[in-house]
Amino acid sequence: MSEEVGQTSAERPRPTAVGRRGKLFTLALALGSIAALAFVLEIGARIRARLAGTPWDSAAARRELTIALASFDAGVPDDSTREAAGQPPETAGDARETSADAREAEGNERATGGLVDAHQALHPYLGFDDLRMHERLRAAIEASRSPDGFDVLVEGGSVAADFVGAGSERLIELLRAAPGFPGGASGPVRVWCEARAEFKQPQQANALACALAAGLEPELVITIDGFDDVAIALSNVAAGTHPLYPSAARWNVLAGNPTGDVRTLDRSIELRRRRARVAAFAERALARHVELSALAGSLALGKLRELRAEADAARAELDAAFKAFREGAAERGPQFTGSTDDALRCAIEAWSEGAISMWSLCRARGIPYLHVLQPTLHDEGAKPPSEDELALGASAALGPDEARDAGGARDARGALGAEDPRGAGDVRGPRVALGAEDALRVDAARRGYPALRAKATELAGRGLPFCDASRVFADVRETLYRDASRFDDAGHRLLAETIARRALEELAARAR
Amino acid sequence: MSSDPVSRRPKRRLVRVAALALGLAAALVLAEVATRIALARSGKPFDSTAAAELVGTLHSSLVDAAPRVRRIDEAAAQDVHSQGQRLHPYYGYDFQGYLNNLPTELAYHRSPEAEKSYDVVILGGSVAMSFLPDGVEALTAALRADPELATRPIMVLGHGRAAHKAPQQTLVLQYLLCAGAKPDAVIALDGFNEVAVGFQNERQGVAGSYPCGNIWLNLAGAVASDPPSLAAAMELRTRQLAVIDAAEDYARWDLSRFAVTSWLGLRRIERLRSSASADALVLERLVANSQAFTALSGPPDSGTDEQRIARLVRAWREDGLALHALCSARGIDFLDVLQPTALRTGTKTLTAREQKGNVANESWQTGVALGYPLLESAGAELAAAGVPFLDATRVFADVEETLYFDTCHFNARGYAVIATEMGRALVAARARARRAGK
Repeated sequence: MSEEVGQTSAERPRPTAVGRRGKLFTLALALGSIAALAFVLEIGARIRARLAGTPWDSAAARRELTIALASFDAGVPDDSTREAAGQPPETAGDARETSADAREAEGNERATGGLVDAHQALHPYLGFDDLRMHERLRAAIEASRSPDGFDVLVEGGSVAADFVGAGSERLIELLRAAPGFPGGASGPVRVWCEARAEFKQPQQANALACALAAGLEPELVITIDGFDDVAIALSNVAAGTHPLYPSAARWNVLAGNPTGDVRTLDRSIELRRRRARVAAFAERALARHVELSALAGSLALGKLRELRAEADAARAELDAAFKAFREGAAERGPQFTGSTDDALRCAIEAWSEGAISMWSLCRARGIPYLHVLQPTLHDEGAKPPSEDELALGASAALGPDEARDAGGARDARGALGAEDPRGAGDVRGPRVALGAEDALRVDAARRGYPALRAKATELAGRGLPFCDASRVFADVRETLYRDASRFDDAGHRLLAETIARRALEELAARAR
Repeated sequence: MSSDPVSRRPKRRLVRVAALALGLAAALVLAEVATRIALARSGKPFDSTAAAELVGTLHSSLVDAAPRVRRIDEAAAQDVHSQGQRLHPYYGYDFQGYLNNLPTELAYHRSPEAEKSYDVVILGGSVAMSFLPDGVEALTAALRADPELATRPIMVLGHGRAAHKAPQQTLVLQYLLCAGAKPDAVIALDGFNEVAVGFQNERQGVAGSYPCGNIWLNLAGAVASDPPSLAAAMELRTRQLAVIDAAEDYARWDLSRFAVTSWLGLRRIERLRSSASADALVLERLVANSQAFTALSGPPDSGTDEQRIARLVRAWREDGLALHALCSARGIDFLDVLQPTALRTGTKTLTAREQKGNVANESWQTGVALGYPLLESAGAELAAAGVPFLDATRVFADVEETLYFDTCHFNARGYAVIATEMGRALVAARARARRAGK
């Protein structure tokens, strides 16, 4: 190739000493100029900083870089991690919920035969559950498949759970005593509890569907419910949760896990990435000792602040995502903008549809079914309140005349559609001042129960085996109630008599 | 010939550049031809459209709730398909799109239009989820054969959710009914997840009756409450995002145009996907050892593989009975459809493309191999018990073209075939009910 251009390497002019010196001089000049320029810029930067009132402080610059490295080297910030781990910051609401749980625990212990809230966990189909119920269902399935015995399954909320403990003995006694009882006069009769405190439709229906799908083969299914269906609907609405959703006090606490949502997870990853960039930049800058130069240090700090701003923006996006998650439909259900009348209508519709579902699930398997509307203290005319029950706020449920007779006065409240009950906290009784939660329960019973009874009549007209036990204590003057809906063993024995009568009718009808 | 060597230099440079460019072009052509030959010889001839669809479907599997055959540049997934999964108190989990859409749908059920219209709710897993829009036209056309539906407006409402399985279909319907939905017909298109996902749950130590363990445990907090699991989940998601980016790069640069660029792009995507799959296994192991696992994994199951499968099939049969009972009590037409799967041998002659996509982990393979014969028998039992039932496992038996793009999902043509059969079966069920004087 070299030959082609007509010049051999030997003929090429060799660089002379003068030429080499010239090149070196040019190089030195260039380097010198750069150094001089850097020096001038450095001096300029320092003068500018001084004039701006913030003379260059290399120690401060190093400190800023060190802090950035230290604080951005971790992953997601501490407080986000706390949220990510499903531990929202403590709020007044949390404290109230905890206290409500503590109150409930005592009742649950009795209701579920020693099961308390410490074993509560999320359940995919029931919202929440006590983990020890798994073993109980397994035992029920095994027993129900044995050739001998008559298995009764009880569904519902806390009153139904209480009934299994306090009323089932009387129920069994009455069933066995009845001529023609399919379980026989001396055969084993087992009453199984699939009821849980604060269950409301469709939880009862779901619990039944799951139990039957898992292999339970009962000879009779009894659902005892009504009060939680209307009361929790109202307390849910007050808590900003859809009335159809499970009890907000339990579900909202268990279900708050923002990192389960891919969008919050993506934002967490983006934040982590941007924080890592800040840390990496700070580390490089520290390693190069940029703080020694006002110019390089200023540029590095400028870039660092830019990266930090990006990380802050990512943090703000993550916070917004967490906020959106908390306000989203997952925990609170679809947005509910209706009045409390609408909430009660929604609850009663769900109660009715849940009852139809349970009845149809049983009918498809040839299992006799009975749906019982439980009594409640604040349902007008349900029971003449004793002194002790008045102390529970029963007077709030009385009509104006009854309340006057009992020695107090209250605001009259009508049936469903009469008045928005959100102001029910002002309901007054002679003995106690009702809290907002109690007032909601009173209102739910007063306005919800007439509507529940009307709906039950409609269901019975369609053939659904129904037992209205809401007046079962109508003639009892002694104290039965322990709170707005739960009553003592004597009450359960009375309830068992009503249920047994109606269940035997149903069993006889099936036998025919 | 110029004798001035200096004036000849630029020309020579030009020649060199041209030669270099030509050489490069020739090398590219050679590489393209060689790649095509190599692919053809390996039995997988280059198909630009198929490659773009493959990448699009892979992208869809990470972006959409239910995977669909589509190119990345096609319309984004429908709102209800948005992949944001959220806990649901009554059926484990739902998708943000459905949650957003529910108030509108319930308002529709209360409207005069709903009174006039024949509203069909489709329940099931991801195959049911993707029934809309691909299967709607064929289903509607088939339903027109019923004299009562010949002119009546027909509305198909999708309520399939990816990875849903018994008893979730019953619980979704139960919730919808409690919320005020008033459908005229319900079709459950299911079976595959019951034995595949259900058995995968069993292998992971999650109750077979519980929702898909990978989804449920994450949403319920087993991952978030365990720092190593949370770190692994973030790592996995980072890799998934890298796969999404690589797939979008593939589409952006139109790499499917040439065999060589497509091959390189697919190799990159595949490499990233393998890393993501490995991370998924790591996460699965970590979650299984987390403290929350015991509380969230449901009652432990035991027994042989056959006993476990028998329980899963029983749950599916019970779900069919329950759905039928819920519908019968309200005068709603019902049809239970056992869905087809490419993993069930002898149900379709698989094309080369279908064979390539018919890849499943051990638990899915075992679940289908042991479970499908039992599902088919259980379906016959349901039919004998009076539940309108369609065994659609062999619905593609006579179709030679490619329908499946993985083990259980199929393209629009597949939906047209199965939807037609579903429509005919529902019409027949309605006719039987009329004859029985329902």
